[in-house]
Amino acid sequence: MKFQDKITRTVKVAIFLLSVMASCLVLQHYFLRNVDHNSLRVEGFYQEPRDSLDAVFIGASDIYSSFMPGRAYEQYGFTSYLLASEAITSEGIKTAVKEVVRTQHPGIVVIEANAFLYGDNDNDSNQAHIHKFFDNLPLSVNKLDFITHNVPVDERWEYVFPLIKYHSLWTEYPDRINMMASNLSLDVRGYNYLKGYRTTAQIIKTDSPCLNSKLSEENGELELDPNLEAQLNDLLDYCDQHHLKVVFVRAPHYVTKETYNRVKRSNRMARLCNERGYHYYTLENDAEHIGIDPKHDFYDRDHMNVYGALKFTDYLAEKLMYLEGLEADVLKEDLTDNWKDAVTATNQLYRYCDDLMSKSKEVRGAQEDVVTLVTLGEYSGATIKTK
Amino acid sequence: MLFNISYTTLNFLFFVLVTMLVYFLFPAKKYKWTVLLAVSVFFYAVAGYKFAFFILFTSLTTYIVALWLERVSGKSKKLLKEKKKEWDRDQKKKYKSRIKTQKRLIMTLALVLNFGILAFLKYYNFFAGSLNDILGGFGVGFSAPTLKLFLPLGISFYTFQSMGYIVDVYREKTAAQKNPFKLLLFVSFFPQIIQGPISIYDQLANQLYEPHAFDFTRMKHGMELILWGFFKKLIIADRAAIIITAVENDYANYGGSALTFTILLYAIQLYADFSGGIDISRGVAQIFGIDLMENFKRPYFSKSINEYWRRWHISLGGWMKNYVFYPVAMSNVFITAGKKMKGSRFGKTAAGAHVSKVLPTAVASLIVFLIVGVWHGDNWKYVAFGLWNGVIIMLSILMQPLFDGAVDKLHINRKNPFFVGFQIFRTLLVVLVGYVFDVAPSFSEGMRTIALFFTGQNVALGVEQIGKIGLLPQDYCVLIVASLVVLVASIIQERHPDTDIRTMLDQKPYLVRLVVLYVAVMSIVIFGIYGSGYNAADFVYMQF
Repeated sequence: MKFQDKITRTVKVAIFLLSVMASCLVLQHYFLRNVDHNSLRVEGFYQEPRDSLDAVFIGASDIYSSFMPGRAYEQYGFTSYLLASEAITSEGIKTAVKEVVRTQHPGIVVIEANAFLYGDNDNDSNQAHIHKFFDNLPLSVNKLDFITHNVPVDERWEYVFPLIKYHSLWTEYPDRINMMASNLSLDVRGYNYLKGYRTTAQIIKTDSPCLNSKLSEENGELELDPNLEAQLNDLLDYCDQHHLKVVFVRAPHYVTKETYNRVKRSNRMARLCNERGYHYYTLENDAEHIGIDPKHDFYDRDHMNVYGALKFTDYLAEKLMYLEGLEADVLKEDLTDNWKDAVTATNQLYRYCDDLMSKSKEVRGAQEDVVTLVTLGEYSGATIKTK
Repeated sequence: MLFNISYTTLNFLFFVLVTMLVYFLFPAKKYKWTVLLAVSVFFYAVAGYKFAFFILFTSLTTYIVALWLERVSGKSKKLLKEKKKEWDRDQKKKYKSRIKTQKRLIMTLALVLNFGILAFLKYYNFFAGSLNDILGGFGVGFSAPTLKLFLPLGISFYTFQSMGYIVDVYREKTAAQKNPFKLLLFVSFFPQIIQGPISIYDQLANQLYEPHAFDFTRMKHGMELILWGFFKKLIIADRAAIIITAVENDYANYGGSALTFTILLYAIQLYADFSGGIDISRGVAQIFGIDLMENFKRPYFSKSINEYWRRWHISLGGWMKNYVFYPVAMSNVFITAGKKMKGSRFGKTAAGAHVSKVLPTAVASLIVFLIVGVWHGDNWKYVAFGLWNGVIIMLSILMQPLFDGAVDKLHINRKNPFFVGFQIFRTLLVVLVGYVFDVAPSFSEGMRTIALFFTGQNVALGVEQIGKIGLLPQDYCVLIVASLVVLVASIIQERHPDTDIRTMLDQKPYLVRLVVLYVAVMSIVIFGIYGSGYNAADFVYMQF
């Protein structure tokens, strides 16, 4: 065979292989991907320019429904992002911290404690919760490290190529069009409007008595699950090694008799963190002091609505600035519009939810998706004044 | 299993890729076969290391017995040469007969040992259960214990292949392999260990031991065949398996229409699954320059059940023909019986002359299919499956002149497309009745199903029952379109038996080839049933 023929053949094979690979990547990223609010949030984090964030918040829904980065920027001037995922596992928290170290050098990393407060270790092996976070991480040493140490051999390819797991999602169209379009629009826009914030427009409806008023005096402790405590120590070791400025926080919840043990475990975790030299803000215990009204400021027992989130954001932001010394870096000019949009979108979302709740309408998933963002256009983005 | 390395996993593709690199870059050409041996052993160890003892035992006994047989043959030939002038004809005949008996004993030893293991592991519990049922029926208190037995991966396939080799050495059709490792490679060659094809030593062994250089066209054709195998297995077979498994799990509660639909679907699934798996095996072997035998030739286009079995699982049919059918049909007992019948009053009639001529063939066929049925599993339903096919074939052989006469009297042109269509349809019906015993959980359920075909049809109920299984309408669309693709490909192959679609594709412009292969790959990626969301079905024939 002539040399020229060999070259031609190689080119032809390469064209074929590249077409298939490119198609698979496009399918994997846009069309056959399990896109939800977690995906958009995590992807948005990687769209933030390197070293552009002053603070990163890591945790589960407890934090992404509680802290409003747009509000914090507007009121306190620091940029932040919620690298959070629904029911994130303790391994997820550790990997998230590693990813923050790899991509950003924020002034502070805030970790919401929920992942360590479960009564058992079940959440850490919940495949759905693991996938929700890790599927959306780009391939990196940290992700591979997680896969190698935590994923059964037979399932590893699925974490590297999520298309293997989600290729059958074509049967779920057209229902998935909104999230697919949201993913596409996020990529085109290049940044996440809400910086990871998500809420539900609803005021809690429950007959269970709220015990929040008792929490400020609650000093009782309960042992953490041994595996989760080991994971916590592992995380703290990592933070020590990298000299990270990390604080832990426990966001307010509508605490009932059934969930009371979590408060005690939170107290225990606070002591463990303090002993290792890390600050832990037990804001769950301070909910009354913050001004969180249990009858008005939650959408369910575990999450605050926009009313509670606004108060919490202001309170925590002040703590971080005045107690932790968080300083806002000067924002690069090309990022100013991006953050102005974030402020506008956050205020619009607040008014949208306020409007719905005042009309007793419920909307789950007021978030970064195309349908919601289009609706937000009808609302004012002016500053929300605290009452 | 250390990790999943079955044919439809990325692990397997990765494994093949690495094997390709090592094999083609291996510097010592003479010892390239050792790469295949190493990866075959690795593959078997990964897929079922707990069962490695059995395959090693078979390889070792096969190796020793083959050498022993050859040694006895060699010695006897040498002695006969030496005593050529010394011995008279009778002495030579007597000696030859003694040697033949000795060789037969040695061969029988290997057959009993290896088929004994297979039979024990596969059928012990079946026999124990049946015995207990019979004794219980007579009120005997004895109860044979049932054991927790496992079936080593590919045991049927490698046992049949090894024993075929032993018989060939016994018949002096092939020389015994002197190198035990080379023999181990013949027994354990990884692309065929899971579900065949059952190769003949003379056809396969030398290909395994020869050093093959990288050949782009072979690699391309091999990969295309693998792709075609994946298409059939992942898009059609595993999708259809969702329904079939659901019905099998709750068989008694399904009505006649649902069961009819399931049997039809099973015909599609079984063909797509088995032929798809064989295509993957053959494709992988082809990449390494090794041609495994074809195992399927569009069996559902067969015009008779006899032809169907020449087109379906060809390697098993070939094995049965060589090592069971001929020895039985040509045995003294059968030939004598045929001759006796020919000499009788019945044998003097036209029908009797035909029957006495074909009777050995007909009865041997029945025995072969009884064995084929039993080979499929340890259940009376498989005996029924074998008997059904055997009886139909026996009757078709015995009554052939009657059928031919009827066709002639009716002035039917045998090449008339409608008549051909009728023959294909008739054969398919016979095949489908056989499949009932595959799908039904027991013989009695199989008989009930056949009765329901005629008395229990209720289309509305069938649609409702199948609809509840949960396969989406989109899945049915994919199933139909993919099955049509296979049908069209089969028609093209049937019309051009001297070539294959891959060679035909080679003659098309690059853009056409690119589009065809691209669509095939992307169809598998998107519509294939794989990943942990599904409990991917094992190959149906893996269990045999």
